Amino acid sequence: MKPLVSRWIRIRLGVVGVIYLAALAMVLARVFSLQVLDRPRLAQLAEKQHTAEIHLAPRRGPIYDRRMQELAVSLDVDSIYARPGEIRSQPLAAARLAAALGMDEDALRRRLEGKRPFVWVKRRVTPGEAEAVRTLHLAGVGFFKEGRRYYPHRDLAAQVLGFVGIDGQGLEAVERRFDDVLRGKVEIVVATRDALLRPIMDRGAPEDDADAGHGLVLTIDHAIQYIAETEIEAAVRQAQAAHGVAIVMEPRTGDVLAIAEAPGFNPNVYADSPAELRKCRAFSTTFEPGSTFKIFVVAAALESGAIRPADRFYCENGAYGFAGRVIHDVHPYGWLDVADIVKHSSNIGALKIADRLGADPFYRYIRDFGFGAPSGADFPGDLPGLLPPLQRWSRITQGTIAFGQGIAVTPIQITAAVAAIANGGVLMRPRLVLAEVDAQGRRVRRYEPQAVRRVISEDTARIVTGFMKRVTEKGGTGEAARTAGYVVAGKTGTAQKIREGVRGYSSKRVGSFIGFVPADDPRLVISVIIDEPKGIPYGGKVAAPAFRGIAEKTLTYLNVPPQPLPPEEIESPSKKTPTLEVAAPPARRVPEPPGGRTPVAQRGPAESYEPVLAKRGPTALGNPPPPETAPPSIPAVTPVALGARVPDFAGMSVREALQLAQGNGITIDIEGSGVAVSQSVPAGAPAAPGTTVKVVFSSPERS
Amino acid sequence: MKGAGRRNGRVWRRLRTFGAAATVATVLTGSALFYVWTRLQVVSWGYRISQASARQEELRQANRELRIEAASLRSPGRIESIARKELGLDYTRPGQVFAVK
Repeated sequence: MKPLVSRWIRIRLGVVGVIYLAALAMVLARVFSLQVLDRPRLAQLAEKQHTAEIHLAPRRGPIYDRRMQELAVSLDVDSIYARPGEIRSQPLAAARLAAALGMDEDALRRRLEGKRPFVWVKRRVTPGEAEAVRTLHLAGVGFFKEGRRYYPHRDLAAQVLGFVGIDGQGLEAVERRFDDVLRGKVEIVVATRDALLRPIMDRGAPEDDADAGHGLVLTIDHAIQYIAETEIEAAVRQAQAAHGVAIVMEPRTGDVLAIAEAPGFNPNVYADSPAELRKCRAFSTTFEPGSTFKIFVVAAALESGAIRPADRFYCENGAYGFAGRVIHDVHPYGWLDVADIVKHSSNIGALKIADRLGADPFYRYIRDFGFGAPSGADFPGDLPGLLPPLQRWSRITQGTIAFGQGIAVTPIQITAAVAAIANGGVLMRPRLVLAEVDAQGRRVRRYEPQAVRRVISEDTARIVTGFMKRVTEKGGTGEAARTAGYVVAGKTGTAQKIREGVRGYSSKRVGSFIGFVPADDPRLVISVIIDEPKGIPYGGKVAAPAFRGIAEKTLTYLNVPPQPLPPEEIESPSKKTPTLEVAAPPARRVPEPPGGRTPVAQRGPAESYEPVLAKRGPTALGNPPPPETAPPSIPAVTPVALGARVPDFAGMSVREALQLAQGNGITIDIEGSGVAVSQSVPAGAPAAPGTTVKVVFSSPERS
Repeated sequence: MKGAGRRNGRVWRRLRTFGAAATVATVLTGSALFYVWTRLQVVSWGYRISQASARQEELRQANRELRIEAASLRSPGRIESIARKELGLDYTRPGQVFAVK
């Protein structure tokens, strides 16, 4: 019996062993299948289950002014979404959400009851709204971080900056043009997920702003922008105008320091303003420049040799029949030289200069000054203006363009063209962006100033500058632009507006003043354009005062030292001091018509003179001037101090001594404080303007 | 005596075998525990990195908010208003600006 039992046990053990072995083989086979055969697919599935891809929203790069002041900055704020399928009661949720967010309950309920699995409730909410929704603890309602654009200076430079749409895309102006630079890329961070779906950053933290958008540094200076905006707002208000634009440009580089428009808008709430207000009209609207264009016809005629500065033109006493039309001047003028044509803004004089210049070169110079083509400032909506092709020019086209009718320009074009004269004849491309910077503020790309072409020679530019200086002299059309302490070169313009949809002109006007300052060493080109002023529409009346306001404040801000003031414009110091004799401007070397010079507005009929043009005969208009005509001369209007004496500074305070020195064109080197006790050059000694005198000051107790 | 010696030899062999097996088991168990400990450390540090990242982002956000506030406080319109109304300042008049050497 015993061997039989023992055998039966072995059989049973063998069977169990076989079963276990079979089971083990099956497990091993399954392990092989899972770990070897299906490994790639299963590993991928496991990775999906255990890990999360965290999409970090790109942060839009900031926009700075040239002094690195933030003009536009992005912040992450909450957007609220809902998954309607996970909400227990849509009507109840809609009611509570609408109350917390101040939304329309019915519209929200319809959205939540729709078939879409994901809906936005409200995007880019305030922190208070987000907190109010969080306290509701609604299932199926969640939060998502999105960037929101803030413009901390509100409406400052709004038309230049533009604004950003709901999906973070730039919609206007710089925000739109440089969207790809500012926007940045989505950063994806992979992290392990725990049972509660919380991320475990066991593979490293996200890099610091690696994919944030680049920042832009603009050429705009926020302080100059503010000055320009304040002045243009005041000018528009005073003239009861529809609109106004002021541009401030640095002529040597083409840097746009300010583009101010009135009325403005707040880009933080851009939807509250009409689309018309949000456009940057400096680039995207055109206007007939009127008389400001005369400086270009004069520059072109001088450069080509068609006229000389001393040439004189008969201005027909205010009415001139030309190519079947009658051209008028605002005031009747007889004989005017070129400088007076610019100063008094004679249409007839400008027309005759253009006629002598000829259509071909006139057209070429207009193009060279940058008209009829976009300014190249890399700005959306940079219009080319309207310059009829030369083939379509009639004689009257040429004549009217000479005084700024029949051509349409953008404010930036005409500012850049005047800047070319201020820059010695070289046209610069308007520059609006200085550099791109990364998230750490390092410059990653620079935008260099670009010279487009030389349009006129330095000599011609200097002569035209001299003519433009006369515009702001007493009796000139731009007298209101005279800026205390600085000589201004400029030109006024008043143009009729074309009637929309029909031929001809309306009764509406555009008044403008464009110029540069200081005239002999230009630091700023400023254009002021007032659209549809009520009352007196002349540029010298509505735009020139704003020019003066911008120039005075900006030059002080830029620490541009003022030139000596004429004695009558200086606040007298407490002590009577010797003043300088100021010589009259030197006589212009212009041959007088027989009978001598007569005030232009009172001159007699043409036949009382022997006009230069009449002597040349009917064909003389296009001929070069005769050799006896005076050579080019630059009109000098800056007072020249003669017989100056060094004043006695003894006993004066520093302020008094400075005032006195400036009035006498003397620079003083200050040493110490208190009252003046000695000076390096004795009082009464001859002193040329610019002489430096060292003055020692000491406090009365010490002396 | 001979039988007792053979028994002792078997016992020692078994003890050696047991000792070796126990050593292997201890090493294996220790390695496994060490592996688990390192994984727990990785997870723990992962949580801490995650929290630090969130805190860093909070501070950055606060920094950005403060920069916006600072920029709006530096707004030229606000500064001019304070200068005029509170300090009684005004723009310079002609003749008040001097170039000092």
